[in-house]
Amino acid sequence: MRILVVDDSERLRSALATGLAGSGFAVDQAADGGEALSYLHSADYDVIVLDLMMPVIDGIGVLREIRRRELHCRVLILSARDQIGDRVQALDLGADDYLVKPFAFEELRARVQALARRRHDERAPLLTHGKLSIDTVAQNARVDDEVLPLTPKEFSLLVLLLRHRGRTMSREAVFEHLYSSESTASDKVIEVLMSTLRGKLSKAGLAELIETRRGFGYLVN
Amino acid sequence: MRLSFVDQLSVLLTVLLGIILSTLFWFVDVRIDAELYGRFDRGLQNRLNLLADMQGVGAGGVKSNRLERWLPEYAEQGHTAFYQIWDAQGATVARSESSNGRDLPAPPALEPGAPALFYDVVLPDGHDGRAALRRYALPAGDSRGSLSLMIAEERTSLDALERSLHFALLGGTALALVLAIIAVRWVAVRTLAPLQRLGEAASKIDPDGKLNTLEVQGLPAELAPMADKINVLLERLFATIARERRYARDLAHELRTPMAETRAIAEVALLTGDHEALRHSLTEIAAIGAEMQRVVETLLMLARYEAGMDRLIAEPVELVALVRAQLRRLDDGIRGKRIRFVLSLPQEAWVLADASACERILSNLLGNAVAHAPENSVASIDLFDKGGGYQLLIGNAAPRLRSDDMAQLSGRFYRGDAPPNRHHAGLGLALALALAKAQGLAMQWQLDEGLRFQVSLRGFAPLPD
Repeated sequence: MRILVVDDSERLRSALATGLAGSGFAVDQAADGGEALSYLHSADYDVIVLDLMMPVIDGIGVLREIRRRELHCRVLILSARDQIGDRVQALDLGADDYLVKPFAFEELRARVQALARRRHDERAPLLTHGKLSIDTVAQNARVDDEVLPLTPKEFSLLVLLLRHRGRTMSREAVFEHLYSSESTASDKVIEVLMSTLRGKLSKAGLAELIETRRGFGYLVN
Repeated sequence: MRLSFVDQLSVLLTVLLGIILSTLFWFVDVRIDAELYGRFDRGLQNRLNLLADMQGVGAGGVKSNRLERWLPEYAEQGHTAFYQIWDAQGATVARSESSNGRDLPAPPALEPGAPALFYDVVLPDGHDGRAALRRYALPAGDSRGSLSLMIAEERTSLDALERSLHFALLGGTALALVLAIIAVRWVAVRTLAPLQRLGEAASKIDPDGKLNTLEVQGLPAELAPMADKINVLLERLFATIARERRYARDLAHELRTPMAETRAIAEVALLTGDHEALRHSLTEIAAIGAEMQRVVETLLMLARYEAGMDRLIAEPVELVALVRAQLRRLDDGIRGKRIRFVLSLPQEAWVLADASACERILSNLLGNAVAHAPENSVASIDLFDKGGGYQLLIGNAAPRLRSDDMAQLSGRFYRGDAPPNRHHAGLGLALALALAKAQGLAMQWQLDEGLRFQVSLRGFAPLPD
């Protein structure tokens, strides 16, 4: 899942990016509203963590632009403004959630995950496919109650393919979802990642779970 | 229970009117009684004199006239008028036929020749009556000693008249009291209506809502100045409340962001568990703590100066040395941004001011100039005396500022479109302004069309000769 963190505090941005990346999210960072709109122009995000009081274009301006462009990303407002009027205004303008600073990082992560699930119309944090079940909150995958030892990126890749079940995802699309814009890796890393994931699935008896469509990408049926 | 003005006034005036009308009633009643009985007694006196003459009692004997012939009310059929004559031994000498042989009550002791005595008695027929008694001396040698003549008349009609007058008076007084209560209530309600309207309008003022001033039009002359003054105070109060709320919100924002940073950095560092990351995070958290401390200390200082808690001490201060010292302090920033300062300073500029306050003002103004001036720009400092005392001008390029910002620059935490930087929390100009005001200096700023920001400081007191 790809997240955009927009905040004028460089320290807070970095801390959030580090923490969310550690949870398997691909995180981009923007220092103001103008930079955030540039990111939104070039990539598709699942969730945007958006500060309100920022220079150039404030959070409300960004929110209006997101809804004007009819982007389907979920927006979590992260602001020091704690007045009811501020929350109502942001939610009325199309924000999906509102968290007041300071906050617990675990709560932010849980809310981001919940918003990401809502984007994919999942009511419960549980994805299943045959004997494979994935808990997106506990962040573990099981085959017949046996835990699959996946790395965060492998886990994110598996979740991504299951969420887009029946649809072929190109290598570039997968890369865009799993890696931030600032990543120095090339999209060939997806092949390596796919290989290690398949190896672990194969050991669990799910060798055929992910199909490769030559020239198109990867598919879970 | 708290009574309204109308109720209090109504009760007070009603009680007062009640007392006045009751006193009036009592006085008139007493006067009427006195007049009625006075008239009645005068009638008895005349009749007593007449009977005494006719019977010859005053001349020392009792004639054998039959009075009833001329005065038929004393005849046998009469039952409203009676008389009786006693000698000194109490033996009846004569009595009216109307007594039908029954006695009037025995007379009290009375000196012969004394004025007539009037008192109430029970008549021979059992009715209430009033009697007049007089004792007449007899010539020496008369064995009867003296004669006492008593006449008595029924007073039923007098009592009935007194009762009817009493009831009429009482009814009139009660009616007057009721009408007075109604009138008092009406007058009180009507007179105090503007005050009530003012009170209702005041009770509707919501300190958390929009400012609603009191309606002055139509108020009586006594209330209009009060409402005017309240309106002025309300406007100031609401402006203060709005300013305080804005300040609290801004302060919350300024402190919440570093608190969020601290917490997020600490929690993420704990998640990663990396030793180097923890070390780096602690360094960051310490820096954030220092920034928060700086914001809080500056705010406290600002509050103390604005409240007049810190007194400034005027002493001889040399401004040129202060300016040069501040430029030396900012040298790294000036070099880092390659800003060129053009100085126009006299050799020395001695003024009477608070040295530490002046140092802080210059530190903030020059610090702002260095922080907000773009790289490779030119800044200027002019210090001159054109006869009205020294004036200091500090100018720098300010491409991010707009003319709209000028009115808000001295607001706390105002940064305009400047990039966030908690070394400059947006308090410097507010503090400099408070310090300047505290020592009677005039501080102004402007943005010219070339986007050059200039701040002037004047009004320095010269050293005494």
